[in-house]
Amino acid sequence: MNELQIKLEKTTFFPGEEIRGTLNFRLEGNPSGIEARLFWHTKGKGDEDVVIVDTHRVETPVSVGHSAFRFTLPQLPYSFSGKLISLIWGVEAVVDGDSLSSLQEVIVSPTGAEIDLGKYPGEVGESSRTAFEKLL
Amino acid sequence: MSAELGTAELGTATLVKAYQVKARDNPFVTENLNSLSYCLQSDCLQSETWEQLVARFRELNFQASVIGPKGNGKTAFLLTFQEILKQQDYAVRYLRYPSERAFSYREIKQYVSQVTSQEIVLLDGGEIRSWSRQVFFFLLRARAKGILMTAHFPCALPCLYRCQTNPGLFAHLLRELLCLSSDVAELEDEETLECVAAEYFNRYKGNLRQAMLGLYDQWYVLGGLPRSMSQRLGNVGQ
Repeated sequence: MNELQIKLEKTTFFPGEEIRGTLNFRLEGNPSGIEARLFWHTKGKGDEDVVIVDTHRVETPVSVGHSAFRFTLPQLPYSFSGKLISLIWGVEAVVDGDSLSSLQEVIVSPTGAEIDLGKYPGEVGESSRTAFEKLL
Repeated sequence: MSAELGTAELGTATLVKAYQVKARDNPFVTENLNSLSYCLQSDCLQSETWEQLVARFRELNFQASVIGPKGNGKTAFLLTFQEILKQQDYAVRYLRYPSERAFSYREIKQYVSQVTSQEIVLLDGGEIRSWSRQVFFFLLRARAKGILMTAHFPCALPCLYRCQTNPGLFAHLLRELLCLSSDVAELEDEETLECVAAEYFNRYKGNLRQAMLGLYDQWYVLGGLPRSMSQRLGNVGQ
């Protein structure tokens, strides 16, 4: 049975920090590669956005193995949640030509926790940008 | 009576505790709405299976329309039909024509040039009335193997399917949606779900997408489905 697992040293990061982790895999067949992706996406009432920030490829992997990776996080955006939208960071691994994948969500924030826009009065009456400006 | 009391307690607890639900925890997020498959069985007027619809689409020389008002499931129908066609080894291309702006002629030509004569184009937003949409449609129709276009009313293409909604379908979709969030599914009893489905179906005049977005706002405040005052007080059925 195919297995793919992402192991991270931790799951909460400061902006600009390095994410270090390992891909562990056990694969039948001969996939051409495995790709780990650092990305963020939005979830909420409107259209979704997905941005892949960095990738790490393992070419022609052996059937059982592991591969260490490092990603450097950008300064923005932070992980946040409000009424209308959540911005969620994650590391995902996918096997070429296979539906097998693995996902590990992470928090990227200067406070060490997801920014809760509901705590800032700007969110409902004002724009999220205003709420962020108040936060900063 | 204990069930009614439980509902009342749940309703009160929900009102007190669960407010300002984060977007990521709201079961009515767009991601979940878009993941719902179109449900053919809900419509007693049309009883064709997906396979029969594909066969009829073939008989129509792959030129047809899907008709229905806003929020009645045309997009869900196209996306589900796309998967069915792919399973039958058809080359399919889904395109959502933007409602907020018209394609320029250059964009239209560029897009149409990518379409091959082997492909069937599923054109979402075909009901948008603009010259660019018309040009787009005619160029696509001439180039592609086939086209299935959404429309609000009968149009130049024969109707393959008419999307309609009813409270029963809405209740079914709500159930499916809440099951996506397993921690939420256990919270909601069947009676509440059907009451909410009927109420929101009427409030939004059968536009299920708008009704679900209305429930998104309610969930943010209540942390659950809205309950009537009688349910909150435990007087259901009295």
